[in-house]
Parts: sequence; structure tokens; C-alpha cells
Amino acid sequence: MNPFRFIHAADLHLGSPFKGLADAPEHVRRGLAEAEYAALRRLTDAALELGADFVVIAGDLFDSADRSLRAQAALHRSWSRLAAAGVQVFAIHGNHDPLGAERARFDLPEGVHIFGAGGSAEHRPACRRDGKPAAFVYGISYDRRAVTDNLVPRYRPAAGADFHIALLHANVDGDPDHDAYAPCRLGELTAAGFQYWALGHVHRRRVLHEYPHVVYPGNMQGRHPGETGAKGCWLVDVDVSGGVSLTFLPQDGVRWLACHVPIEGVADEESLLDLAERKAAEAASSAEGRPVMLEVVLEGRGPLHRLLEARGADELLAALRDRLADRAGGDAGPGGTAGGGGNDGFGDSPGGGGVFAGGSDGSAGRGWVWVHRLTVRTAPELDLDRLAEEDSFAGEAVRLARRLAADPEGREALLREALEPMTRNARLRRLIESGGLARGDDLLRRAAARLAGMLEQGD
Amino acid sequence: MKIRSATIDGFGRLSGVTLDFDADAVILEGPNEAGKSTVLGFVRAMLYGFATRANMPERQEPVYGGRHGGRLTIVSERLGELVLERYANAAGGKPVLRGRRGDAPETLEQRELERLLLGGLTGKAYRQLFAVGLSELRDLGAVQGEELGRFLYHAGMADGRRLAEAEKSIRDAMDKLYKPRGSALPVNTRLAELERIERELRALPDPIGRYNETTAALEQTEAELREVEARLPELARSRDDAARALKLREKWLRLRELDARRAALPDPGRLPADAGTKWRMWTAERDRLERERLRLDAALREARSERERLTAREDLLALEPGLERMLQSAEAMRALERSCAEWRAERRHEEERLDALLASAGPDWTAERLRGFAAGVAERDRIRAFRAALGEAEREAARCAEAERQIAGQEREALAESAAAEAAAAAESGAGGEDDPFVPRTAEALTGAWERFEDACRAWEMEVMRVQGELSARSSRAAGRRADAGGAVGGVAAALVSALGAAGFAAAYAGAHAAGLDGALAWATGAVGAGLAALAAPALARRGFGRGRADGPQAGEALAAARRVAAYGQRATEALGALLRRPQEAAEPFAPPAHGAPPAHGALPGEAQLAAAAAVRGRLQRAVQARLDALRERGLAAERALERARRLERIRALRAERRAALDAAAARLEALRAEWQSWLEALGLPGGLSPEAALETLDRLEMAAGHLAAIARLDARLTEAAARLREHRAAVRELCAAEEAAARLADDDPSAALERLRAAIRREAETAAAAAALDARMKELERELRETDALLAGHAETARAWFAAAGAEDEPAYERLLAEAREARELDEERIRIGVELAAGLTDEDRARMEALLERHDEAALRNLAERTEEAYRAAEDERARLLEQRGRLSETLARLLAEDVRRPLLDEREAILARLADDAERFAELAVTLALIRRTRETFERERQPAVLRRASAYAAALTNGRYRRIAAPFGRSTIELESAEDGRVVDAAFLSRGAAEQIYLAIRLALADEVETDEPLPMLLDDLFVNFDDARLDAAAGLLGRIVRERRRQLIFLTCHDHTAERLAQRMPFAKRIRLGSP
Repeated sequence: MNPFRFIHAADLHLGSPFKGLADAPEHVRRGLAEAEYAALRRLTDAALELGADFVVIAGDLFDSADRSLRAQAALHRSWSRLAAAGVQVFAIHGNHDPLGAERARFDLPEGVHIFGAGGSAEHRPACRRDGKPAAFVYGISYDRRAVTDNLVPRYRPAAGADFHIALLHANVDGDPDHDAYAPCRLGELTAAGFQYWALGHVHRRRVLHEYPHVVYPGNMQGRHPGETGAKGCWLVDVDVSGGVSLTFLPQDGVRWLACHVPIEGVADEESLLDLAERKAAEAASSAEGRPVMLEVVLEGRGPLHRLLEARGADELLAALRDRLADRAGGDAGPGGTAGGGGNDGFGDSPGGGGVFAGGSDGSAGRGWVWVHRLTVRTAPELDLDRLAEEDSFAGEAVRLARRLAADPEGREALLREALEPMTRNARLRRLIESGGLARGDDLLRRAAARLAGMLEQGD
Repeated sequence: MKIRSATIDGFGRLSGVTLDFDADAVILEGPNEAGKSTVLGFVRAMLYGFATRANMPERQEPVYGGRHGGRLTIVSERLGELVLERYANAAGGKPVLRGRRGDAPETLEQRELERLLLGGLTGKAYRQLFAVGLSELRDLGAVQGEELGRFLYHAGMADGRRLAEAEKSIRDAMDKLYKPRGSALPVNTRLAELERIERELRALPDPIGRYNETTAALEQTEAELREVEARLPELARSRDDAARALKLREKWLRLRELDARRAALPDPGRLPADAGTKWRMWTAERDRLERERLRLDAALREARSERERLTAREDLLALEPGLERMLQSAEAMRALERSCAEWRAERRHEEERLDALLASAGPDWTAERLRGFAAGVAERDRIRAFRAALGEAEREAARCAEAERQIAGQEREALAESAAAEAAAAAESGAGGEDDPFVPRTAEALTGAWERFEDACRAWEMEVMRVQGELSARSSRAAGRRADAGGAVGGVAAALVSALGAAGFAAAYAGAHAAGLDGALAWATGAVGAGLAALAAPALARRGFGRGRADGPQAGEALAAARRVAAYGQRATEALGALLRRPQEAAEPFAPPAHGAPPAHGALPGEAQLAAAAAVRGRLQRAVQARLDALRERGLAAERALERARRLERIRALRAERRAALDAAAARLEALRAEWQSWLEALGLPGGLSPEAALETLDRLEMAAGHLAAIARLDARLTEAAARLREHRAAVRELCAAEEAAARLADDDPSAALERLRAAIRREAETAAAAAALDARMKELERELRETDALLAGHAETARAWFAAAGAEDEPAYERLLAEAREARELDEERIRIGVELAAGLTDEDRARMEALLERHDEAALRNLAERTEEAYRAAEDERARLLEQRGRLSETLARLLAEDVRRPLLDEREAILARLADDAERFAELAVTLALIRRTRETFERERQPAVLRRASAYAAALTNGRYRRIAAPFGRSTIELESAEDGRVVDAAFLSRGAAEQIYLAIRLALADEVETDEPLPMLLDDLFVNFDDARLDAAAGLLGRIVRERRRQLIFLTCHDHTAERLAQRMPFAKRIRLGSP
């Protein structure tokens, strides 16, 4: 067979808003607004520069719910560039951009193929840039938002190619963080006779299986505080003997990160700020020069807990932001400091470009670190275990919370009772139902710690 | 914990009371108002603080004096014996504890105290459970619902207050976040904002729909545009053709007319192409030549008539050379006349000078006399000799007078000096007689007396020194021999020396002081002072030696020595007597005998006396020296007076000589002056002139003679000039005779006449020159006229040759031929021009189309056609513009749609708000869960705790009611207390019990709760007359139960009662109880 190379991406989610932008200054907002487009540009550049023969995209190209024309135009531009260079594109639509949704009328360039929704998975020959055949690509698009059928049985490899690539937008083995669309089992996939399952839908990058390869590339750009770490696509090389090697290409324009700051042994706010600043800098230095949306999580037990509990984290957050702004060169302002100039404060970071060395595209490549959130997960300096032994109200409360932790039904009943006032508002109810809050056991654990803290105060 | 004793300094009606509670049970009896409840209040106040002033009845400020407060002595199982002290006015009413660290008082916070001693029990709980009166007991019946649970299970719990605080703070926090019906709270606000954003989002146009619509519209527009643009060129051509035909029609018609006219004209034939031009040039040349000829003719005629008018006078011209000469001599004559005037003026001047000089020389001098006077060098010489002789004689007389005057001055001076010297010598010899203290009157005698005195003095001093040396050597030897008595001898010697010293010092001091004064009087005073001071010394010495003599033989030797010394002193005093007139005043230092004191006493002069003597001697020496100097000075003054007298004599002799010389000089001068007077008169000059004045007069006469000579010279010159002038005037008259005007002037003003003549001659010369010029011009004009005639003839010949060639007979015929040829050429040119204009920019095909249009349409038809085609074209243009504009607009819309993302900011904002909402909601949820956890825990707590408390209470109730009720229940979630009867198992609501029974039940519950809440050690319990409603049996049961509690639970009970039977009963059941009576002796 002919060796070839392709790019596997998914979940571009072009045009979808970012979460957690409260308080963000203009340059951060702008950077974020550009991030997903920057990611798309990088993908296109990478395909062209690295000599990919074709590109496959496994659904959720954009958020049609948000009806962003710009997103569609950007995708069209990207595909036009690829097509002009003779790089084929194969794509399917997912739950966020099902075929049925109204779409702006852009003519698909020659060499771009979107798979349909009906019947069995159709297939298309993918060729190398020199025109030699490379593989067959299969795919089924979503025709509506929620596809709850298992689509795998509709994929059958056709005769006539040495390598078969299947595009599928699905939740394999029921990932609890994602909607269970097109549910299927890994076993079904490995048994279906394809060499490469190019999956989409789950935003975490994962290789579920090798030979046959079952792979999620994850999304291209983190979109909320939960999507931390590098995001991008796979560069897949298939050699003469059908050997597959995967290389991850980070494509994100802005990186979401979380850093954990333990408060054990931290005596005062100033020291805490110092520590948080150092941790933030460490986190930022791991971002490969990208702008960083950082969540700082204060955790552990320490003397500062009570202060944090009483005063809240707002002032601390403001102070930390100030420090990081100072550190980034005083007047990072809109646009921040460009490239290597902005890394003074982080001079110990590896690589000549420094933490804030921007990408080549320049739009989202301006270095900045924005602490979008300071989460306080500290606990009082209490020995809950000891407390649980105690014959006191607090002890009783801790014991009750622990009992409920092992008793989902009792816990749910307590939560229902507690959150009753919120459920009276439809939107809050939806928020609770959609899992917008922390999980029940987490809430309960925090409540018990808080109560214990309040009752033990002053001793 | 137990209360050992209570000391009440001042609380309510009690003051200065100490109650001994040192027992497990105490029965405090007393009638009403004895202060039992005050004791209860006091214990509460000690443990939990004073009530505020807002609650005066409980605050119980002292009524009968004493400091508000007191102390409790307490025994704790953990901490041992302690004293708790509290005063309202000390430490802010805070408790002060002693006994934990020795006797050092510790001021505690109330909560510390509660934690330390009271098992964390709050004041409220204590009052409800441990310091119980009837009112507190009945409180239980009044509480309701959830309150009951809280009361039952939390009244005494350490967590209770904190739990309430925690609940409250959580509720507060929740209320600040969200309320289902709230509006200004964060969560509610965000919900409202979300509504707004979603409304706005819905209101925004759908970009994708608009994009698709716009794209379709753009395609449509472009199709239409293409169609219109395809039609435009044909329309433009038709319009252009019609418009051009209309525009060219005029020219096209003219071309046709020209063609017709050209056909009618003959061919220009034999005429060359440039014939017209040549002919025009020929006629122009001919005209020019003829005009020239006419001009020359006129000029010649004019010159001739002019020449005839001009003639000149030859006779005047011939006079010109003579005139020139005369003009030159006239100039010389005018100079001569000017000179004559000057000479006359000079002569007048000379005469004036002459008169002035003569007047100054003397009154009777005239010119004639001057001419006769001659005074030469000899006279002058004579005058100068007189002048020298006179000057010499005058100077001699003056010198003699000066010498005489000088010598007179010297004589006066010498006389004065001589008198002064005499006076000085007299004064010197007279001075100092009385003041002189010395006996010798001359210098030699004085010197000799002084030397003798000095020798005597030295001898005395030597003796004194020697005696003293011996004396001291002996006394030291004596000291060596008798060491025990040595001090006495030493003392004697010392006393002697010191006595002498003292006297000597006094003398020296007085002397030195007196020596500071000047002159002989001061000296005398000093000498007397020194003497007086020295007198004291021997007296002192005597006293010292008085003792010394009694002690040993040394005194005798000393006396002998003193006598020797006195002898020397005597000698010195005698020498002094020879020297001084009043020697005794100076001699005292040397000799006590001088004053008659007995020498037998043997006083020795001491060192002080020696010093005084030396001082007196020194002073005498200086006085002697001064006296010697004065004596020498007197001798010198006498010598000077003698010298002055001799000098005066010499000066007087010299003066007599000089006066004789002066008289001789005056006589010589007088003789010389008489001789001079006589010589002057002989010469004829006034006699009083001095030699200088005489010389001056001679000078002036000499100068006057000079002026006389000058006047004679000027007279000669004037005469000669007058002759020459006369001669010249005659010559002029002769010359001017030919010209009339000049002749008239010749006599009066020869120069003007000559000028006039010269002007006349110049006019004639000019006339002659003008005539010569006219002759030359006439010759030139005649020559030019001849040349012009020749040119005209040649020109006519050329024209005749052209006529012959063209076949024309004469000039008019030739000109006609030329005019026809020109018209034909002009027609041809216009035809060609119009043809070019018609064909400009057109292809052959166009031209053919145009020709056809012009042939077919008249003007009106063409105009109509042009309008129609123009209109059609413009309509198509407008359509195209509209479409282009529309296309632009649509493209722009598309670009904008692609570029802008109107929904994005709103979406971002929505996400931002959602993020905050989620944060707030999560916080709210956490709080809500906490609250639910509290609620649930409380339920559990109550459910699990209640049985324990109630079981115990049931047991107590059974005991209290003698088994009448066997169980107390407080069903969870209900606000009632129920009792189960032991007899029939009936359940009774406590609200329906009799007062006594209810109180027994409440007491049972209290006791059970008190047991429940205690964490470490039992607290003392005060029960204030709880048993008033108990019957005997129940009272007995209660006493029994309480006695058991004291024993079994180690709880100290303090009963307060006003009922004797109660006290009796309690004492009966609790024999170990201590009974205290309050309020009576």
C-alpha cells in the first residue's frame, strides 16, 4: 500500500462562546474570541506545512445553535485553502451542527466532502497529493441534534482499499461528562473491520485502542475552565505496511489551565499571594507560549481558611491579577506585551521564545495570563475524623454527612429539600438539572466542613 | 464543683454576710424578705455576672451599703479550692479568680469562666436548670413546638448558641444571595440580566438567513446587470449616429453648394500660381517710388527759397582781430583801477598810524618836526649807561638797610637768652635747700658719707647672719641630745624665727608699700613705717625666748650674740647720722638700743629685720644717687648764663659798623639821579622820564618816520596809473565807431561797449555759415531726384512683359484675370475642409450610414431620431447604474455579515453571567445544603437524645409522684409533653395536670436535663422554694429523691425555703445537710 499522512480533528465548535469570562479585560476577551479561529488557522497551516494528504473532521464543526456566520465563513476559507493545495477534506456533522440546521450558502470547494446522514455509511476514496490512492473514508452525519441510535452497525468497509478510516461522532462506552449520543461500545468498533476510527464528540484527547485505532482527538480549543491543558489534533502517519503512528499537534489559541495552591503552613495573605503568583507562573510556563486562562484553586487545610471563608476570594483575586499584570511587564494592557518582550517575569521558563512568545499567526499569540477564577476549596484546620467520633452536634453532623455520602438516595432527598427554593426558578432548576453545580456529594462534603468549622470556631 | 461559702459584700438587702455552705446539701431557711432569693441571685451574679442597669430588679444594687458584689469559695474536683470574686465596679464586673496560681488574682472573660468552671454552660441554661425558682420551672409549660425541642435538647448544650449563630449567619448569607421572589439580590439580578440578553438575542436578525437572502439577491442583480450591459453598445451607436448626422447636416448642405459654384468657374489657365502675389508686390513698389519722387521735389524747392533770404556784413567781420586785442588790455585796465583803490586806502591807513605815534610821543610833535629830529645809537647807549648806574646804587642802599635790620634782631634775641640763663642759674642755686634730707652739701661729701654708712651696714648684717647660723646649729644639736624635750627647743627656735619673720614681714611690707610713692616725703613716710613695724619683732622674740631660757643654757649665749649685733647696729646708726639730717627714722631696723630698749634682753634681729634694713639701705642708696645728680645739674646752669652774656656784647659792636655803611650808599644814589635829569633836558625830552621811558619814546619816533616814507611811495604810484587809464579809454572809442550801439556805450563803459561789439560780429559769422550748408543740401537733392526717375522707368518695363505673357492688353485686364483665379482656389479649399470634417473619425461604413441618414431625413426628422435614441440609451445607463449600486450594497452587506459577529458579544456576556450565576448558585446551594444538614442533624440529635433524657426524667417523675406516673414523653415534632399513668397506662397531656403535679413533672425534666448537659463534673443546684405546691407525701418523696441525687451524683444541692416543714422534711431525709437560718438571730 501507499504510505500516507492525514490529520484527524474534531469538535472545532467554531463560533461558540466561552464560559467564565466574567470580569475579563478587553484584550482577554478579544484573545478568546479569536482563539478558535486561530486554532483553525493553525490546523490549516499544519496540514499544508506538514504535507498532510487529507484532513478528516469528526463532527461538531461549529455551534449551529449560535448561528455564527463568521464561523461558517472561516471554515469555508480554511477548506478553500486546503482544496487549493490539493488536500482533500472529509467531514461529518455532529450534534452541534446537524445537517438539518439551516446554514449559510457556501459552495463546497472541489475536494471537500461532507458525508450524508441516511442509510449506511457512504465511502469516498482519499488520495495522496500526488493522486495515488491512499484509503477509503467513511462517515455518517447527524441529521438532527440528538441521535440516540447506535450508528456503528451502519458502517461496513467496502472492497477496493487497503486502509479504511471511519468518521464517527459518538460517545463510546458512555463518558458521563458528555451526552450519550450515538452510544456504542469499544468492542463493536474494534470488531467492525476498520483500521482507524476517527472519533469526535468527547472533548478529552484519548486513544481508546490501537490496531485497530480508536481515537478521540478532543476538541481544538478549550472552551471553559473544565477543558484544561493542550488541545489540538492528531497527525496520523500510515506506513507501507499499515503501521499507524500518532503525533499530537497542539492547535489551541488560548490555553485553559488550573493550578492548585495548598494553604498548608501559609501564615498570611501576603505569603499566600506570593505562593499563588509563583504557582501561576509555573503553570503559565507550561503553556507553550500561549495566552493562559488560569483557574487558581486554593485547597488544603491551614490557618488562612477562616479568613478566606469570612472574606471571600474577591480581594485576593484582584490582588493576584494585579501582581500578574505587573509581572507581565507593567502595562500589558490591551494586546499585552508582544512575543519575547513579555516574558521578563517568567524568564526561567524553558525555550528561547519564553512563555509569552506568541504563535506565528499573531492574533491570539500575544502572551497574557488571566486568572479567570480563584476557587477556594480550603478546609478548616479540623480533624473531621476526630470530630466524627465526638458526641456533639458537629460530630453528629459529620457523621450524618458521611452516612449520606454512601447513601445516594438519602443524599438526593437532602439535596432536593435543601435546593427547593432554587427549583422554584425555572432557569436555576435547569442549571441544577444540567449539572451546572458541583456534584451532590461534593456539596455535602463542603457543607459538613463548613458547618463543623462554624461550630468549632473560637476554640 | 461545690460552693464552700458565699461572702456577700453588698447585694440587694444583704451586706457583709458570709454564708457557710460547706456541705453536700444546704438548707437555707428564713422568713419572707429574709434574703433567700437574694442569695440565689447573688450566686447567679457571681457565676454569670450582674444584670445590666436596664434590669435593676435583678441587678440588686446594695440597699444597706457595702460594695456591690462579693465572692464565692468553690471546690472543684479538677482545680481544687478556688475563690471567685466579682464586683460591679471592678474589672468591668468581670470575674476574678484566685487559687489556680497561688493567690494571684486572674481576671477572666465570662466565657473563659464558663469553660473553666461551668462546663460551657450559658447563663440562660444555668438559670433554667441549676438556679431554679418556681417561675423558671413553669417556663417549661409555656414553650412551644420547635422551641420545645430546642429547649429540651439544646437549652443546656454547649453547641446551642453557636448552632443558633451558625444558622443565623447561613440564613443571612443565603438571603443576601437569592430569594425566589427577590429582585435586587445577586442571583435574581443575574437571572433578570439573562432574560434581557436572551430577549436581545431573539431580537437580533438571523445572520445566516440574511446571508442566504443577500447572496440570492446578489446573483439576481448580477444577471440583470449582464443583460443591460449587453444592450448598451448598440444603443450607443444609434444615438451617436443620429446626433452626428444632425450636427453635420449644415456642413453637408454647404458642400453641395460649393460643388455647384466651382463647376461654373473657368480654368485659371496661363497665369502662374504666384502671379497674384507678384502683381501685388509690383503695384506696391510703384506707389512707393512715386511718393519718393514727390517728396524730393518739394524739399529742393524749399531749400532754394531759404538760400535767397541769407546775406552777411563783411566790415564788421574785419574788426574781429582788433577787438580781441582790446578785450585783453581791458582786463589789465580793470586790474589797474582796482589797484589804485587799494593804494589810496593804504595811504589813509599810513597817515592814521603816523598821527597816533606822534600823539603818544609827546604833545607838540608834528610831521614836520619829526622830519627834523634825529636821535641815533649814541643817545640810546647813553641812556642805557644811566640806567645801569642808577640800578647799582639803589641795590647797594637796600643791601645795607637789610644787614642793619638783621643785626638788630640778633641783638634782641641775645639779650633775651642772656636774661633767661641768668634767671635759670639763680633758680637752680636757690632750689632744694630746705628739702634736702642729707647733711653733706656737696657731691664729694655726700659720696663719702654714703660709703661709710654702707660699710657699717654690711658689717652689721654679717654679724646678724653669723649669730643666727650659730643659733640654729646649737638648737639642732640640742634636739639630737634630748629627743624627748627636742620639741620644746625646736618650738623656741621656731617661735623666734617666726616672730622675727612676722616683724620683718610687716616692716618689709610697709617699706615696700611706701616705696611705691615718689619723692622725698614718700621716702620719709616709708622709712618711718618700716621702723614701726620692726619694733614689734623684739617683743615677740622676748616671749619666745622667755620660755626657751627656762629650759636651758642656750638662752645666755643668744643674749651675748644679740649684744654684739646691737653694737654693730649702733655703728651703722652713727654712719647714718652723718648722712641724714633725721637719721633716727631710717635707723630703726639696725638698732633696738636706738630707742632705749635694754640690750640686756638680748634680742636678736631676725631675718625680717635684716631684710628691712636692706630695704632701707636700698632706698637710701637711690636717694643719695638722686641728690648727687641734682648737685651736678646746678653747676652746669651757672656756666650757661656766663656764656650768654659774652655773646650779647659781640653782637652790639657789629651793629654799629653796619649802620655807617648804610648812610654812605644813600648819598651816592642821590648824586647820580641829578646828573640824569640834566642830560634829558639837554636832549629835549621831558625831564621826569626814567631811562626806560626815554628809550620807549625814541622807539616810537623812529616808527613814525617809517610811516612817513611809505606815504610818499604810494603817492608816486597813483600818479602813473591815472595816465595809463586815460590812454586805454581813447583806443576803445576809436574801435567802437563802426557799431552804433557800441559807440554809444564807449565813453561811459568801455568794457560793455567792447562786449556789445563782439556780439554783433558773432551774429554775422553765423549767418555766413548757414548759407554755405544750404548750398550743399540743394546739390544732394538734385542728385536723388535723378536716380528715382530712372527706377520708375525700369519698373514699368517689367509690368509690360507680364501683360504680354498673360495675354492681357493692359493693367485692368490683367487684374481681372488674377481675381477669377483666386476665387476658384478658395472654393477648392473650403470643399476640402468640409469634406475632412464630415469624414472625421468615421470608417467608410459609418460614412455610408451617415450619407444614407442625411439623404433620407430632413432636419426635423433627424432631430426626432436623435432624441429618441438618446432617451433609449440613457434609460439603459440608469438601469445599469442602479444595478451596480445594488450590487455594491449587497456585497457590502455580505462583507459586513461575514466580518461582524453581532451575536458574539451578547453570547459572551450571557456566558459570563451564567458563570457568575453558577458561582452564586453553587454558593447558595452549599449554604442551603449546610442548613439542611443542620436541620437533619438536629432531628437525628433530638430523636436519639430524647429517649435518654426522657427515660431519666421518667424515673425522676416516678419517684417524685410516688409511682403515679411512670413515663414522660415528648413526641418529636409535637409541642406537648405527655405522661403515662402507671395505673392504667393512660396518656395525659401535661397541660391538663394539676399545678403541683405539673411542677413535679417539670422538676423531674429539669433534673434529667441537668444530668444530661453536664459534661465533666456536677454543678451545684439551687432550688428556691419549689415545693410549696407539694403535699406531704410528695414532699417527702422529693426530699428522698434529692437526697439520693446528692449521694449518687455528687451534686451539691442548696435549698432555699421559708417553710419550716419543708426545711424539717428535707433535713429529715438528708441528715448530712447543713441548716442555716437567715434573717433572724
